Amino acid sequence: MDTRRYDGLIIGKGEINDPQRLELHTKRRFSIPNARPRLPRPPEAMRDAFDRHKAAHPSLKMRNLDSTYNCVGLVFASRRTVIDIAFVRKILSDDDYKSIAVPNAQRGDLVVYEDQNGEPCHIGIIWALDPQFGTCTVLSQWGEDGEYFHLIDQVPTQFSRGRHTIWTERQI
Amino acid sequence: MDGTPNLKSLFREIEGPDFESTISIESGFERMISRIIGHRAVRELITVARDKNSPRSVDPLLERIRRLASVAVDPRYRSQYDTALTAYLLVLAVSAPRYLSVGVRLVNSAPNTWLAKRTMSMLNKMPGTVAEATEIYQAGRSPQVPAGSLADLNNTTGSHLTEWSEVSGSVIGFTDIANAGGESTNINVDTYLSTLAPITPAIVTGAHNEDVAEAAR
Repeated sequence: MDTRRYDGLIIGKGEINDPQRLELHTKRRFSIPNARPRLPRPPEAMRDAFDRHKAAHPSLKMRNLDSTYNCVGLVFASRRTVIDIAFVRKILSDDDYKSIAVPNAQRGDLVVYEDQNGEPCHIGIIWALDPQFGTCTVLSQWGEDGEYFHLIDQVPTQFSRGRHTIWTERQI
Repeated sequence: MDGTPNLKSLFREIEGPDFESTISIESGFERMISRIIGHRAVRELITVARDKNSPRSVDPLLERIRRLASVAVDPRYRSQYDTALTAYLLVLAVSAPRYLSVGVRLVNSAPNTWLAKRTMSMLNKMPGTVAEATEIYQAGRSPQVPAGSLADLNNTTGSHLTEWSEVSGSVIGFTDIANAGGESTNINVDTYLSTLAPITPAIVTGAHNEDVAEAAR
């Protein structure tokens, strides 16, 4: 079991045994652990989260304020469940995603944000590209705080401490 | 913990929207836990709860958990104190594990929590923990053993964080994590318990054996 220690606590890599979990597999039949929150966060908490993010990133556009899935659940499970970000590399590998240069990105490709240690901390779907202005709009779920359209570099500080990479499953 | 001037402000901060927003943005359980433990307010609370000068230094924290766990919530939504309760459990786990099982029982009664219950599950199911030792021992060998007695054994090793392994019969070997690689202490549980009065239910944490072995290498 892959574990890390935090001040004496040993924490596994997202292992969960949620009886409400969905049957999800990668192309190579890896069973993707996931958990489904029984209840959503209160609407006022979601609204508060949106207000905070909007204040920090005025260009942000909210699509949905639902806390029952996360960024990985949006991308790989159609918003049905929560998949731990720790499994993103495994999913990308099993599903034959390839890393490509930013200029080669197309709508529908994925962007993976890494933390300062190079570990994935967030993932989104490229929604729009504007070559004229060199902008890229991403659709992603921000933790439990809701789903947003945002510019690729307009993300919470926790997602922007490392680099971001583009991934595609296109046969190119 | 009594008399600490900023205790209320730490509670207020950990139960507030700023703290929750810092945690809710994370997309992984491990990342959430690491973010909580690394948060300044939580670090300060851990320091206060570790105060060895006050034998009941965790009382205000346990009382705070009890209060939050008894707050009525809208049955349609998750508890607004889910993250705070998780933080308090983690504070107990790393600073006063002797009282963690009390905290777990209180949080278990809290309605509509999710992160806190996942955290409880993590704390209870880690292999090689004192919790597991307690569970196995009590379930399989000596049902009459008062809950928490092994926790008291744990304290005899001089550390809250102790690796355990069953040596034979009711003899359990404990190794202080701080001295990983050093000699373990073998204790006959039955003999030891016969010298003890029943104590408050306690400890539900410890260390992963493989992790300790790795640290020793």
